[in-house]
Amino acid sequence: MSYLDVLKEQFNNQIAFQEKRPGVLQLIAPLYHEDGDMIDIFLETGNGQGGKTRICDYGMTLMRLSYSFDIDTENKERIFHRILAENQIGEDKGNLYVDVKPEGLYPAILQFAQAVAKVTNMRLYKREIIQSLFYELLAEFIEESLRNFNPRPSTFPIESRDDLEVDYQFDIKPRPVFLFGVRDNAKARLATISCLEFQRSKIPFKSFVVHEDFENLGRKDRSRITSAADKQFVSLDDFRENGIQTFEREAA
Amino acid sequence: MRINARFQENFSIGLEYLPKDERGSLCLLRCNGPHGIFLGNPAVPQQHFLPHLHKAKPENITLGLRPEKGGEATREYVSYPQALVYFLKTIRVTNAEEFFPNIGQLSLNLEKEDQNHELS
Repeated sequence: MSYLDVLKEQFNNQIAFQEKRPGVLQLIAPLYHEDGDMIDIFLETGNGQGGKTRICDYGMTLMRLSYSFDIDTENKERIFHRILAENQIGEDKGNLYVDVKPEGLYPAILQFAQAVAKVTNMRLYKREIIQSLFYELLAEFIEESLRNFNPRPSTFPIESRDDLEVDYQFDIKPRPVFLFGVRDNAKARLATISCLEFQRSKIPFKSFVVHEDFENLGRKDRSRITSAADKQFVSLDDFRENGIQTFEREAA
Repeated sequence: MRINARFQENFSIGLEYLPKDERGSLCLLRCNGPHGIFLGNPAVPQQHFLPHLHKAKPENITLGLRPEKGGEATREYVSYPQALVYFLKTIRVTNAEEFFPNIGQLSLNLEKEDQNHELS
């Protein structure tokens, strides 16, 4: 019985092999990417060292990843190599591989597929996606560090206006603080309109704005919100560093 | 646009949409070569090695799946140059010649190739 037959048996006969090139077999196994394409796994019988078989992808994983994500920073490189190292996968000019003795193919293929899935999912580290954590991080900081100032999430100071929402209301004296988290131009405009409407309705309050990145807003949005808000923190780091002190001064 | 260095038939040409008001991107269309098996129509669970297309589908988006999940086999192209012509036509690039100077010629050649193929 050849090692490929053994492998087939180990996979409960749910796999097959397709000759891609002489000496290179493509593994047909029920291991899929999220888009429905099968994970590209090849077996090279002659290339592994010491009679080993090489399991590899011929760069298909990085090619797929590059549709929407580039490993173009030191940090991304570090994460990429860490995934490979933790899964004992080698890399040669973009080709992910692992050399194994024929009898070790079954666990190695599963491990290899897992590593490929992890590398492919590096696309989830995209800045645009990570950025969406801004509101969660802001909420986490408020709930952990500003609890003493009685934060209330999602309040509507004008009862008849459910479109004018305050992200966090802090019921402190002499005036409550209305806090807005701002990640983009759209939210900056909404915060500006809300502040102006609350002022027009003569609601006593102070408005705080925490930006994800103030410099990233459009010029006009920056000036409008600066004119409407009482206090702004230019970044979440700025808020973390100075927020508590500012609240203490307000409540004094 | 990607072509695998080792296997020329493993290519990919895709169009990603980057929404202004939402995070991330979504694949509207991707033309793949016959790089492997893909899941397509649920009634035909396993397709074989064929050139195939991935298109964004509303039902996938509604279900929170990858928009382009599920491939469909195509006879529109069998090689990368043909796929490129098909792709540019499908997404209606009106000034493709500016960026792909020989694309018009390529298209003509392909038509000739097709005719020769039919004759043979």
